[in-house]
Amino acid sequence: MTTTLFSYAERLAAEQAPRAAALRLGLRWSFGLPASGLEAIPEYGLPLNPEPILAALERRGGIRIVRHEGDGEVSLYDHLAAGRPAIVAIDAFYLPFRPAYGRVYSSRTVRASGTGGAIRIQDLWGPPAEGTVSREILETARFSSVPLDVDREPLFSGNPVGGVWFSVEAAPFELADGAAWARERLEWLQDEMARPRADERGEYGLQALRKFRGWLEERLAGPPDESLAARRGGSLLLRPELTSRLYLGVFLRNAAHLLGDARLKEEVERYRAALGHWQAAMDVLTKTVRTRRPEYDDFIRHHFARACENEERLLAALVPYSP
Amino acid sequence: MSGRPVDMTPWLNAAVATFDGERPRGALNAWGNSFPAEELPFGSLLKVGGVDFRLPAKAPGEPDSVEPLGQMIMVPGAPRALGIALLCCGEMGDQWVPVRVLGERGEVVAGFVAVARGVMIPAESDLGDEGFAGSHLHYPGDYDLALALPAAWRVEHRWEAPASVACVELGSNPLFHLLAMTLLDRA
Repeated sequence: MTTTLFSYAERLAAEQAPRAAALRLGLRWSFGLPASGLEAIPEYGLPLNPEPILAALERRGGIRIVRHEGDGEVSLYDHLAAGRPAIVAIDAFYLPFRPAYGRVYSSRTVRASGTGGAIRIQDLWGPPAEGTVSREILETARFSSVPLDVDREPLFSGNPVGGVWFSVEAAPFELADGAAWARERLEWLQDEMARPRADERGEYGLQALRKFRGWLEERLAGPPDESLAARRGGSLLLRPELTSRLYLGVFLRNAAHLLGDARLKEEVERYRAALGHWQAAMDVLTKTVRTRRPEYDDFIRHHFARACENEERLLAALVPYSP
Repeated sequence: MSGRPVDMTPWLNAAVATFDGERPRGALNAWGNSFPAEELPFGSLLKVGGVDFRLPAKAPGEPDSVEPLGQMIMVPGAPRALGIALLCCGEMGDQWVPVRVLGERGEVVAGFVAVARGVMIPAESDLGDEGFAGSHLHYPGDYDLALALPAAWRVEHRWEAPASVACVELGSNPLFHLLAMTLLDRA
């Protein structure tokens, strides 16, 4: 399960440059532990990265994703009027063609296109739906405060949408020397995960992952309020991190092929399969926002430990490619 | 009756269904969804794909299913069987759990990974013989939403020769929901 932002970014990039959109979105490997509250991470949050991830993806793979807040520098509607689709953060409460219309406050991104009085919205959130909305309705959805309602929306309520939208441009993708290109990026990624870093935004890398694991284990056993915040915040943090890793897996598989490295190929397939531990821990963590049982926390601990081992194992496998 | 339903009552530890008056108790997932209990024949048989599954008796607030957490489900009388069928569904998408079928002396009759398809299906889906779907999905609020339905799926595993089944050992996956289990006695 990927975040809606990455799903749409892949589609928009593939429309512009049909080759390799997924692997180009996978050119990041770290773990970003934010200095600020985890519960402020929206469904369309991007993983924190030592080099800000959007800049990193553009530099490393030529996909330019720009995050806009409101319509100050670039108006969403001017962008749409130029015939370009956009990824728009909305509160589904205000979308009339969604069954949750008027019932559930829930933020995510949708794909918007078209101009004038009827803007076409495509919403991949299960079950998928699409419809048209007026500019007035879209404005309301874009600037909703998304009131917190943990009972009806345990994760994706409580953070204002704030007019955020994204544009995507994908440069043509041509490799003169695929092996050299892949090797260079493996070096960057190995270093990005291996080397501990920190700045005012947060901490990064394997060390940050270990710190988060320890923090989570403490909070699971803590007082109910702290525990609930950790379960929600942990779920919100782990989703974009897992999404990033799913795309990383696509790059790594291709890199192993470009390099003719059978050993790496085997390690990558093992890594990709074992991402199931991350998914399992994250999904049960989300489950515990509503329902608690000691066995659930044991399950979370077990699978997140396996997930962390998976990261360490891949890091060791990439040592031959370290800078 | 096709097959021999296994009574899971002593191991029930979760609820996938709510009656109309108790929808806020829904706990099939973190969003409080649940099957409509009025549409499931609790205390009676539900035939799916030719297999009879017996659902436990259920009153409001009572458990009605098993979340696999390592339980050993005992089968009285150790009947002979050619296979096993599960009625199950996955929370947050497809889910899997290891299952071992054990004989009277603890020998392994069969070991397999049961894969339960996701519980949410689009409203126009046709399950055919593969599962059972409710006509609507319960939400914790005072509303019905029409685009998704809850579904439980029939999963079968068979072995080569009839064997006595004394126990079914479940692995651990809280996202796997087991509504019923039936031993298969026909090829």
